[in-house]
Amino acid sequence: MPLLEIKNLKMDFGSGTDALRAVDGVSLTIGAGETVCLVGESGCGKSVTALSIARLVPAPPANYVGGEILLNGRDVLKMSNGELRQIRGGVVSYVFQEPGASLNPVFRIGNQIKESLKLHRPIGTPASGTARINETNTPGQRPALQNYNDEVIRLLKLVGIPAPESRIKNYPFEMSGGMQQRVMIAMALASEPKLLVADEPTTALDVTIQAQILELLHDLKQRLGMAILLITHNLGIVGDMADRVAVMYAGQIVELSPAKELLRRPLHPYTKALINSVPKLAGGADRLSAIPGNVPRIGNFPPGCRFAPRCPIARPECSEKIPELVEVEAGRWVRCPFWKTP
Amino acid sequence: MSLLEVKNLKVHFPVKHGMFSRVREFVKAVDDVSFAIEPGETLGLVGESGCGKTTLGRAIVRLVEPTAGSVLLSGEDITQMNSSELRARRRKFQMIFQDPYGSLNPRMTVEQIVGEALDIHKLTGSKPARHKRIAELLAAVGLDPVHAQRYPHEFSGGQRQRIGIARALAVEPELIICDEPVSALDVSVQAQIINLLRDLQQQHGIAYLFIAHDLAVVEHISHRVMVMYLGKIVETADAKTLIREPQHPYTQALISAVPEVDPESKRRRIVLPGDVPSPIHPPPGCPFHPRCPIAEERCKTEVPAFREVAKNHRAACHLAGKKIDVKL
Repeated sequence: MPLLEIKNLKMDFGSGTDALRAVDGVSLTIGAGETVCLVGESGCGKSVTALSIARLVPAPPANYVGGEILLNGRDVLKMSNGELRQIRGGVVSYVFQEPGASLNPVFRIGNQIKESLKLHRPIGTPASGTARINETNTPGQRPALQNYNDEVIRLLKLVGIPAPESRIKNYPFEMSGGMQQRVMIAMALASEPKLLVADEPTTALDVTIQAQILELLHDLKQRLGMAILLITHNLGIVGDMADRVAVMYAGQIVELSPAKELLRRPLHPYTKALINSVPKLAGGADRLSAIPGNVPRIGNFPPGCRFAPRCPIARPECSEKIPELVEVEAGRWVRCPFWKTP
Repeated sequence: MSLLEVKNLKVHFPVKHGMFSRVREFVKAVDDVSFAIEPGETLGLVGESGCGKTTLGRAIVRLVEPTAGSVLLSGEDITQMNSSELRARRRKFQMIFQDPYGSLNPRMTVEQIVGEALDIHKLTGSKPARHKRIAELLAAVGLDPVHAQRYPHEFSGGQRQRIGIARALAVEPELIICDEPVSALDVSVQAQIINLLRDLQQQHGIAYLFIAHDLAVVEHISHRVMVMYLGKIVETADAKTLIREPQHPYTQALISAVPEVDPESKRRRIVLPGDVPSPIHPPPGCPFHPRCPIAEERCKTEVPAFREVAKNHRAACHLAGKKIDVKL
């Protein structure tokens, strides 16, 4: 049984005649310890898909009209509030794009991390059976916490914050963006999740700081063996981090593939166009092959294949029926019947 | 004669502690920067946030007042001009901003936005001529002239950036300062705007100062590139050389930190420790030495000269050219 299995998820914003379909039939699985990237441009539905895993999209306006989100085999969409509280943090943790906006500005960071510990790993309670997250990744029973402060310091050390003993007294504004993001990651790890969802975790950061955070995530993944769902619009990050990648366009997955194969040989015309439209370092000064037109807005998706109006190989029949996501080679799924067209 | 010549430009912002205290400290946002741009050339300016690249761009057009130094536009020093003289010269240089949402007045139609520039500089005599000129400008940036009566909110991000470009083009400038013009846009739209800027340069011979943090974008569009760190230019060379043979360790780290799409890439990432230091108290000696993987004893005390390390290639580093061994 995979850790996470999203089956044909359909989510609207609003209901009745005003309903706007934001996620339209997304299916995705993540195995334990696997890193999956969700790639797409703004408004493609990647963030709401990711937030839905712990049902973090407020409903209403969100309206789940179909599908299942199975986390350890249990459907998140059918859970009670009490159960949701257990999995939020307990099984799935989140790291968001803007660390400055995610941290509470009036509490010291040590206390903010402690909050997560109090909720999920209160002092003295015995292990819940999950493998303990530690520096050496030795499997086994997690001993009960003795002291919150020690654990907070251990977590801050784990995410590479220098002098954590004095840093726990800092307020978020006293830290740089990169340090704030490390605190966010420490907070996400505090509850020992099995799945870390990172929604554009480096987009607000500078490249040298981005490199530090990616290195940290890479390192944590290897040491802690948790699964990561990484949401990004940067294809370079996909090459660095992902085992598998799902490309989303206008609420649907259009290509799903092992990451290296997708970057080496993209199959869907949108993926091809996306890779070609990014300038590459030392890539020469040729004209960029831009994708004509704009990303369609939610509620305004074209009929049939949603990429057809911008697609270089579109045929008249493309605008008639939405193509199916089909496995065309082992592990490679494509939503385009004409993917072989050069 | 160069189109633009910046000499020893400094922009220092006073830092006040408390309401009545005297100013004792300064943020040296731009500290002794000199460079030139030739007609029709694109000069790229890269650096991380807080390095002073935006302030430099704004100081050149006097949207912030320089503290010292001169900015010569076709030989005339614009830092010494009064406001009416400056206004007349503003026809020659324009600016495109990062945020296409924030830089257009939401209560003006596209026609009013683009037409305002024409009116200020009295570039069109009659109403029909003005109307025709606006239609031409919109067509030139790839917008349908029939949309001239629409408001900015009716357009997507990429289209709004096109409106900003049309507004800048209206006065037929010789130089456009582009401050992160594509970083707020979607990847697929980013390429459209980059291509548009290049086409316009070829048609009209406009020079650009192209400010961005994305090295790949800057390399793609620029003839020459400058790298800025803590208010100073640390390296400059032509775009290809800078990317292929970076001399300054900061540039090397910056290039290595760009995530690569190509899974076969053999590039090793140099991860710099720490953050950019505060520009109020820049480190002594070489400002980069606390993060530099190859810093030596003298880097902590001696400020490196911005010296020529190869033809048309300058770097501010005692150890310029020394390769960084990346731990495997």
